[in-house]
Amino acid sequence: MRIIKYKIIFICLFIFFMFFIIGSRLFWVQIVNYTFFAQEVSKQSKRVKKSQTLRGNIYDRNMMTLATSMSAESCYIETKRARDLDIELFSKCTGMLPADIRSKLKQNKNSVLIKRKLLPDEVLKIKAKNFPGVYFEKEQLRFYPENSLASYVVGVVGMDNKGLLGVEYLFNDFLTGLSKKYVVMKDGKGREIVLDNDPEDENRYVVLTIDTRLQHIAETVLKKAYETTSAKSLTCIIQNPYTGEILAMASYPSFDPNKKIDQKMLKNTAIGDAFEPGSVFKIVTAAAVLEKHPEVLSENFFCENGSYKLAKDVIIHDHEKYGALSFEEMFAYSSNIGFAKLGRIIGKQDLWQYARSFGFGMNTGIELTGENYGRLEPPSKWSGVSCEIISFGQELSANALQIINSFSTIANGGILMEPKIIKSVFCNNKEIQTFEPVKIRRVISPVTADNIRKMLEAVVEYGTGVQAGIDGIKIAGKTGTAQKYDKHLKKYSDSKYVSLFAGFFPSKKPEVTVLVIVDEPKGDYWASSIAAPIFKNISSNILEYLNIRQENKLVLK
Amino acid sequence: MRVHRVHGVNKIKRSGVYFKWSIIIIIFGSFYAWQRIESRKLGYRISEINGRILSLAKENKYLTMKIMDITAMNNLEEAAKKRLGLVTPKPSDIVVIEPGSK
Repeated sequence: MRIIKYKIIFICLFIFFMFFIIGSRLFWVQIVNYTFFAQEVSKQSKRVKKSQTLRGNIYDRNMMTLATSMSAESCYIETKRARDLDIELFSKCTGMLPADIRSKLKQNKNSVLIKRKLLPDEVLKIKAKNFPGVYFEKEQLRFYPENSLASYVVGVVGMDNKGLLGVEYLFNDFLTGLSKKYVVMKDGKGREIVLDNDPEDENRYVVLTIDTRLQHIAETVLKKAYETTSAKSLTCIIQNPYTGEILAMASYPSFDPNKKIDQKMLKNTAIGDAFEPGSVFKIVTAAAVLEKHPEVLSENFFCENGSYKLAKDVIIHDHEKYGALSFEEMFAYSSNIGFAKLGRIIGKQDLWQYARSFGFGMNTGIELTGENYGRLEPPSKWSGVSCEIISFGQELSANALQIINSFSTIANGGILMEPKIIKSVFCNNKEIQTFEPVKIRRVISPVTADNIRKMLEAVVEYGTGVQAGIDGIKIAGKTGTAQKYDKHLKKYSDSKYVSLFAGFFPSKKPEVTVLVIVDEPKGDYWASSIAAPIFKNISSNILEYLNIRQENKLVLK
Repeated sequence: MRVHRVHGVNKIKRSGVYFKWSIIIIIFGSFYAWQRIESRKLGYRISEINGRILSLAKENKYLTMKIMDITAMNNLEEAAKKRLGLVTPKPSDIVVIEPGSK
C-alpha cells in the first residue's frame, strides 16, 4: 500500500516536474525573451510586399481615354523543370514559333523569359494547360485605345513603362506614381493574409486640350491627302485662338503606340520641324506696315509685271505678272514683289521686332519637349536684301506652332497666346494643377488685326485661297508655298517645296484656327491647289462637328 | 473529531474553488483559441475575397479596354462604312440654303 502511495507521489512529482520544465520554457520564451522570439516569428511569417500603382491615364478634353494601363503578366520557363514541355502546344498558346521557344530554352540559364506583357486571355490559356516549369511575373501593360490617334501628342512608353515621347515623357514621373508597401502574413501552406490595409491605387491622370473628334477629322483628311499628294509628310494643327489651346495636332505618317515602333518615327513634326514659312509670313509684314504706316492701306503698289531686281544677282518673281495692285490685292494675290516693297517701307529693325513679337525665332511656351524654335537672325546679321526677302517669308524658318500662333493672334484681335496642350492634372480626382490660358503680349491693335482679317477674307474670296472657301461661311486664310533650302547644295531646291494654308473661321468671330502643311508634295506643289483643298476638307468637317453654321439649314444632295 | 470534519469541509470548499477557476480558465482559454482560429479563418477568407475582387477588377479593366478598342474612332468609322454602308459627305454634297431663300 505504501509502495503504491510512493509510486503515485513519484508519478505526480514527475508530471509536475515535466510541467515545470515546460512552464519554465514557456516563461523563458513568452516573457523573458518575448521580443526576440516575436521578431523571429514575424521575420518568418510576415512579408513586406511592394506593388507599383498602375500608370495614370491620359484623357482628351472630353474625358475620352487616350492612354490607360492594366496588369499583365510575363511568362517565364524554369529550364530544369521544363524538360517534358510540349513545345508545339505551348507555342500555340503563346502565339510564338516553336523554333523561337526551343532556341530560348537552349540558353544556359535557370530561367528564361518567353513572352512579356501577356493579356489575361493568353495567361488563362497557358495556365489551363498546366505546363511544367512555366511561371508568370506581374507587369503593367500600356494601352492606347485610339491606336495612332494623337500619338505624337500622347506619346509612347518603352518596355520598362518609361515615357519616350509626348505627354508620356513629359509627365513620366507623375504618371508612374508611387510604389505601395503592405504587410502580409504567410502560413506553412503559402496562404496569405494581408495584415495592414492594402492601400488603394492613387488615381493620377492628365487631361489634354485635344479634342479626339477634331483630331480624328484632321488625321483622316491628312491620311487621304497623303495618298493623293505623295508628300513626305503632312501636318495639321487646330487651335482655339482665344485660349491658345491646341484642339488637334496631327501628323502623317504617324505610328501606332500599341505596336513596335521605329525610333525614326519618334519626332513630332508639328513642333520638331522648322521650315521657311513663305507667304503665310506676309501677315507679319502686313501687320508691321499697318501698325507703323497705316496710310499705306489705301495706296497702290506697282508689282513690276512679275519680275523685280533687288540687287545685282537677286531677282524675285511673282506667280503671275501683276501691275499696280492695292494693299488688299497684293495680299490676296500674294505678290512677293509688292511685299518686298512693303519691307523697304518698314525697315529691318521694325520688321524683326514684329516678327519677334509674333513669336518667331523663339520658344512658343508649349509644354511638349523637342520644339525647334526656328531661325530669325537679328538685323545686324541681315544682308542688304534680307529685309525685302524676309518680308515675303524667306531667309527665316519657323515651326508649325509659331505659324498657327501668329494667325490666332490676328483671329483674337491682336493678342499672342501661349499654346496649351495640357488642360489639367488630377490626383485622386482632385485637380492639382490647372493650365490656364496665358496671354504673352499684345502684338498689334484690334484695328490692325481687323484690317488683316479683311485681307485674309479677300485671299479666300478671290485670291490664291479660293479653293479653301466653303459655302455659307466666311473664311480668313492665307496660302504659302516655300522652296526648301538644300543643305548639301547650299541653295534653294528646285524640286522640294512646302505647301501651307493657315486660316480661321467664322472670320468675324473665329472659333478655330487651322493650319495645314504639306511637306514635299510630288507634282503640283502650289499651296492654292494642294494645301487649300485639304484645309477646306478639314474645315467643312469641323463646321459640322462644332455646328458652327447654326443659322443655315444644311441639305444633303 | 470536530477538527477533522472542519478540515475536510475546507478541503472540499477549496477544491470546489479550484474546480470553478479551472472551468473558467478552460472556458476563457477555449474562447481565446476559438477566436484566434476564427479570426485566422476569416483572414484567409478576406484574403481570398480580396484576391477575387482584384481578379474581377482586372477582368473588368480588360473588358473595358476591349470596349475602348472596339469604340475607337477608326474602328467605328470602319464599321460604319463597311457594315452600315455609310459615307462621309464631301463638301460638294452639302448645299447651304440661306434663310429666306426659296
